[in-house]
Amino acid sequence: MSILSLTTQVLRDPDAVAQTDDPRTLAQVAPPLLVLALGGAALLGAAAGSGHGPLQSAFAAVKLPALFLAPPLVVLPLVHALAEVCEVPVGWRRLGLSAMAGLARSGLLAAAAAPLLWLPLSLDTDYHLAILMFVGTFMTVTMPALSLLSRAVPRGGTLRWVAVPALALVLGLVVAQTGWVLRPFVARPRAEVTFLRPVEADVFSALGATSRSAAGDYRQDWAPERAGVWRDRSRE
Amino acid sequence: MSVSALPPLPLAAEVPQSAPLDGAAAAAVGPAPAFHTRPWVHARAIGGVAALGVAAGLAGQAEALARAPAGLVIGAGVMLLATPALVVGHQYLQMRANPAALLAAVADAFARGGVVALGGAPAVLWLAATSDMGPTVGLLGLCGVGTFALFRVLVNLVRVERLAGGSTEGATGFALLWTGLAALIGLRLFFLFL
Amino acid sequence: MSGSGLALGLGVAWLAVGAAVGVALARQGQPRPTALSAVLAWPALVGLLGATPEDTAMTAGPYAERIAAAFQALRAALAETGLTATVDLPALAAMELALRRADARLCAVDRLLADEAVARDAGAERLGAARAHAAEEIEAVLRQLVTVRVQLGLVALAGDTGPVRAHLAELGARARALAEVA
Repeated sequence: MSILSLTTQVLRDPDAVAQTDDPRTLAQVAPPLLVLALGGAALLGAAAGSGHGPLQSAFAAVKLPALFLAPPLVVLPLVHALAEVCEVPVGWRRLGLSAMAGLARSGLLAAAAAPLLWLPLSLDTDYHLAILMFVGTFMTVTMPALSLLSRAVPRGGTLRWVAVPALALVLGLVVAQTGWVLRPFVARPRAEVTFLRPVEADVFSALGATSRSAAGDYRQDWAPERAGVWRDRSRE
Repeated sequence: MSVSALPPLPLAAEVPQSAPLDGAAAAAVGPAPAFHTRPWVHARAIGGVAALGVAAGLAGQAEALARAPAGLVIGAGVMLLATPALVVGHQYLQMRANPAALLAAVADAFARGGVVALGGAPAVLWLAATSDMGPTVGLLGLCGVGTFALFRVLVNLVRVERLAGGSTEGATGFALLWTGLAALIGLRLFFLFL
Repeated sequence: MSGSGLALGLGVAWLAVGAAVGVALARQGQPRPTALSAVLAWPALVGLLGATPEDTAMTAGPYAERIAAAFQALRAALAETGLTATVDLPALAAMELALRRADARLCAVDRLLADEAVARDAGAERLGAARAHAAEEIEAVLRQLVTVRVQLGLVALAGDTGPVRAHLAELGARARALAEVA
């Protein structure tokens, strides 16, 4: 199957690609699906970093594929375990194929959304608005991946209503923290261009600082609390 | 070499006639193994809870790492302390399921919880390694796994009673009471060890 | 160790495990692009570990789609009726694999029969008859899988799973006989 026909099938009928346990299918389509996922994510990353020059654009193009790829694959064992204990077991091959097909679909959507993100960023949009647009675009293009992964698990099962929210919570945490570790994608207006910033605290303390700043409290000037929200308070 | 020189194809000779299994053969087809008796499930469950604890404490906090086996201790404690009350109360109330089925129901639920812990360990590891959230996420994970196991115990107890021909309503009420007791014991042990 | 160091260490560990999985897949006979993909996406490709090259290289025969659809429908029926735990899932997977192997052999025989030189040989008629018999057996197993799904519906109402398991055991034996070569 050529990459163009695979692209068409992933966009039109991803279930036809993903819903099989055939190892032959997984072995054949995994490489082109990975290329589609990483390529599309790189384009979106390049667009996200474009407001701060070509170097930031290149850095974001390298990092955003990692943000696409890592969280769903890190929670894949949890999906497998929850499906098994909820009596709707799904094989590793089907799960892996669904994850890859979902990522490829999201990558293609990301590639299509890249110019839509680049256009306002190229007009010197306000930093906060740019962040919101980037996060909104990211969430929108990654939803199909999660949808396809969830369809890999057969319908029915016991206590599925407990498993699904738990999985969503864990995935949200992993995505948020991975994005925090790999920041910046959209650089601050006067910040120096760097590939990565030191891992400080956690994403939740940063959200807290951002919320305070949005409310007009600039005492810590955007810097997250050094020790993070989850610090060991017994030592203070 | 012509096709006729090849050895006879096995297909035509060996395809069996489609005869249904007789009664003895059908009886020999026993029930599929319960979840907790499948190969390696106990190892995965115990390893999963231990892995969750180690993952949560990995970011160098020695005190957190020392608490890594706590999940195993709490799970074992709940089973040891609460299960006698389950068996005694169940039989005293003249319910239908036998003690072996009750114990299997509890073991099944805790095994499933442990397998979920194993699946969640990579995510906890990642969160612990990249932030100070490790101990908190580990504790939340342990609570989540424990809650799932208790829900599953509830479902299993009602199911074994229904399969034994008992009343679903009575079984549900009793199972709710027992899982509430198990939850309280689990919480007490949780605050004792952590 | 600092957060940055641990994160970097985990990233290196991810790539190292990916490389190990990639090497294992390559040794197993998987195509090189697949093995290379494992360096980044190994959690999605661990399901290929242990799959024999024969399984991976198995040609899809004339019944490939129907076999895949039949087992997908059966698994969905098991899940919807809440009866997944009552059947031996590895045996079900083995039955599907046996049918796929038989289907792959049908494909090979079809290619053989399409050869004019083979078609003119005296043994071609016997080959064709054996091919037809094997195809009938696969069709019969696929029809019986539909019957099993109907039985699952009845079991969901009545509760006795014995006949379903017996039926699946019989179908498994028939599928294995189709796939085995003396």
